[in-house]
Amino acid sequence: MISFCRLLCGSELAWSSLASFMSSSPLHNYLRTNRKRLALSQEEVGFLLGFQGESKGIKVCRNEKFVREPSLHTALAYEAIYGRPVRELFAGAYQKIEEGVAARARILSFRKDRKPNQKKQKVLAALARGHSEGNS
Amino acid sequence: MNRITPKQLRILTVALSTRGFGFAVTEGRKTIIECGGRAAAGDKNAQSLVKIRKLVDFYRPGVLVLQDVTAKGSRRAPRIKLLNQQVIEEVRKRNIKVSLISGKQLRILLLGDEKGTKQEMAEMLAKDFPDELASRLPPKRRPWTSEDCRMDIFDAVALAVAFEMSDK
Repeated sequence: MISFCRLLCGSELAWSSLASFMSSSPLHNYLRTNRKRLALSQEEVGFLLGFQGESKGIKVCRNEKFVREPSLHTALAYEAIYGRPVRELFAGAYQKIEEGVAARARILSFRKDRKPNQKKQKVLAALARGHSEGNS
Repeated sequence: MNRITPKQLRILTVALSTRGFGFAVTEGRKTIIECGGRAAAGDKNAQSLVKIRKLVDFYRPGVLVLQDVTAKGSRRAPRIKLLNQQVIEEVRKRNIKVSLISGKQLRILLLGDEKGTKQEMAEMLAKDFPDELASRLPPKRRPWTSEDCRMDIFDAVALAVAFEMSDK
């Protein structure tokens, strides 16, 4: 198999190891992938989401193409339809939000309280590392 | 940490053909994000290049995998060879790594036999990815028929699987 590690052109890097450490940031959402997994059309998903009118499919298309962010109601409806948690469906958006929370948690952890609370400091430290309470 | 979406290398594979190209976007070994075909008419290279650029911008892949048209024994048309080069130059501008896999290597990796056929590869992939590919499997090609346009999709997915296998 080693010979196939040099299948590649361009820079003469050892691609087998390159691929193992390289990673791509997640896409903003995985709605389209999940819709195709269930063999549903955009129109059908629009109907399931409770959209009205003839532009049901267009609204779903805009969500899938990252043009428009769905409301909380719609996001939860997506979870119900696709059977995947919202943060998995909107992985890229979730990651951005999580990073923002981590940055703010770091700021908050520097703030001096009159009565230091160990539990709170623990939570903030975990959030700053990117661990939410539910995940840890 | 129990992250639901671990960072994985996203791969875009493009299989160029006479009618346009087939593409597949994968993450990890068993996840096809999207796969399909794009047709090009008129100035096929220019149109294909625009469509590939759109895909690259939308999916922001870590690696682009193409067929190695300059490999020994490759008999691709001069237009395809030129387009292949243009695609490589285009994605390199975006700092995306490019990987080339020859047809022979593809067959050895997937079928273990360099004389394996595209149909065998397509059938194997349809079994591996039934949700995404089973419905798109074209009927077996007869000697008097030309290749089904859906075969481009299977070529693209085959490149992605081969790339993942070469990473083992």
